[in-house]
Amino acid sequence: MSELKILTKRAGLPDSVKIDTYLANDGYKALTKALKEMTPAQVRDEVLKSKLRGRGGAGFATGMKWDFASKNTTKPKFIVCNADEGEPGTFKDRVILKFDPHALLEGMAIAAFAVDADHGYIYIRGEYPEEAQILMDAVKEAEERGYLGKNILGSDLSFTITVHRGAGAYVCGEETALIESLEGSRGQSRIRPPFPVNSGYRKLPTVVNNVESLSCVPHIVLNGGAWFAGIGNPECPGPKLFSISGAVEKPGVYELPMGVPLRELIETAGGMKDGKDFKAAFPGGASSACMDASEIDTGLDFNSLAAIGTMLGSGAVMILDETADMVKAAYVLTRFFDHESCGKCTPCREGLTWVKQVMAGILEGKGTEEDLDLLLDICEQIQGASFCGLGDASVNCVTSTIRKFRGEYLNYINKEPRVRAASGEKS
Amino acid sequence: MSVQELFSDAELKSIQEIASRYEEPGSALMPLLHYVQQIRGYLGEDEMAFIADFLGITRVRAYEVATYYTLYYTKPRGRHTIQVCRNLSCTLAGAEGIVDFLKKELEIEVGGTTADGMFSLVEVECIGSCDKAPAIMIDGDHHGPVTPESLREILNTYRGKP
Repeated sequence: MSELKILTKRAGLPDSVKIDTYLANDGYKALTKALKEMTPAQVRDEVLKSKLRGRGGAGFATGMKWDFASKNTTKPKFIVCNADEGEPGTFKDRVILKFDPHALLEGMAIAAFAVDADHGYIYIRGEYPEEAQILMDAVKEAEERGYLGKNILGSDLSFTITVHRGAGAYVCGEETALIESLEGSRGQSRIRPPFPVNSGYRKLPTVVNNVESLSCVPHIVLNGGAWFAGIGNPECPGPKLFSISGAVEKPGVYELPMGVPLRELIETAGGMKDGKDFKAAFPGGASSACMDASEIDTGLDFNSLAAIGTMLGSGAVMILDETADMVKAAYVLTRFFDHESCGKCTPCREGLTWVKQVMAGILEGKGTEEDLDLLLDICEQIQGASFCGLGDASVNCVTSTIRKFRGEYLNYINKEPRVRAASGEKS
Repeated sequence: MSVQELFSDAELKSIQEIASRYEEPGSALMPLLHYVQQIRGYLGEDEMAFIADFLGITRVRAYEVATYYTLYYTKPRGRHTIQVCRNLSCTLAGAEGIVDFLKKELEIEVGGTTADGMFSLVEVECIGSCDKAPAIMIDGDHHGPVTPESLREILNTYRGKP
């Protein structure tokens, strides 16, 4: 399938981060159109019509979120861009942050117009210091040219943006934990409701949108919601940035229509590395249940993946070939979740430590078949028992590998003790 | 310790500028911790206490935030910090071998600092460079895919950096 050039159309241009490059390539046209020709309700309506669903992972309808936010008249109101992409396997927002920062700023300014917001924050992960600087420079440029700041383009809209760096905590990608972190606390999730649109940053109405979602907005405003809804799977449409890594020839970010089959994404990424056979994929990062070879023709979109018991998440596709050890893979992901659990909810905090220990025992050759039932039992108790979705999703890697690759677990259980695994690592 | 002993006038000015970006004093905490770490290399107790007092928040809050996030260091470390990603895409591409190589080459364990104070070595989770697996970060720079040979060269370039 040929790649799209919508969200990535400026990424390859020389000096793509500069406002002059942006302006010469349709930049800030959508904001101008929104401010001069449209009402906030019309902008929200186009976004609703586009059927855009949040690209950060949860897939909530962006237009609906904006509608909720517009109904709350408490002021001040905030737009927070979630640029904390921390889901293992995800590096797609980086393309926008690094090469097309003004697209994000324009999307945020349009969002501010649509919901009547007063200030914006970009919460960017601590591991991206270079991108944070690019964003700060872009904000300055946009302010100097009147695309951010007081009375933007002579309108009533006054809005600017503060770039805020995280410091390495996976859970801060969850919107309520992100808000806690933005307020200068440990990034731990809050119980919802209330949702951030009613009580977010400083307990004020706050729209939290992902980088890619916001970067879709200028295109929707310029070309119309119907145009966007005509790309890819009609039920959950649009262009999508996929991060593909692991056993493919050309790992990277590819822009393809929603619903592209996994097989075609792999082909776009140069095919399987060294001609090896495909064994499995985690289509939505570490949090998603794995797909096996029988599912390689499934479309990569919210609905098609949900239908086979996994999820699109942020579109972080990790590919494993025939040589991959699925037990080891599940262990590596469990170790990650155990390390990153924020510790607020007992099932996630304690449960993941147990899951990791049992998994390590299996890898060391000390496992029994009963351990597999024990693992599934602990996983069941973690799921649905945490404040945030991250806790729920943390054990998908374990349950799905036991379900689909039980034989590999049994190989460890029935064979001589092995030496590898947990030795020498920190907790 | 008095303020004058902790920070120069120019540094104090930067601290005030960063704090002025936020209406909510607590929101300036993380940027200020980043700033102090950038100029001092790590977050000392006196510096954290000063920042907390300056913002009008409890000292324990500054400390709990500093110890919660992976990228804040509350102990002195080497001039350059090497972060090796150990998540799935990097593990599939041989991240364990990279850690083993660095441990041997630098003669330190994970979490340790070389005798000359040049490098600290830590393992981290996904750094968003999965397309360049196995990937590492040194200070703020991403490198990948790395091999033992390329690492030797990379380390040498940092040996010459401040």
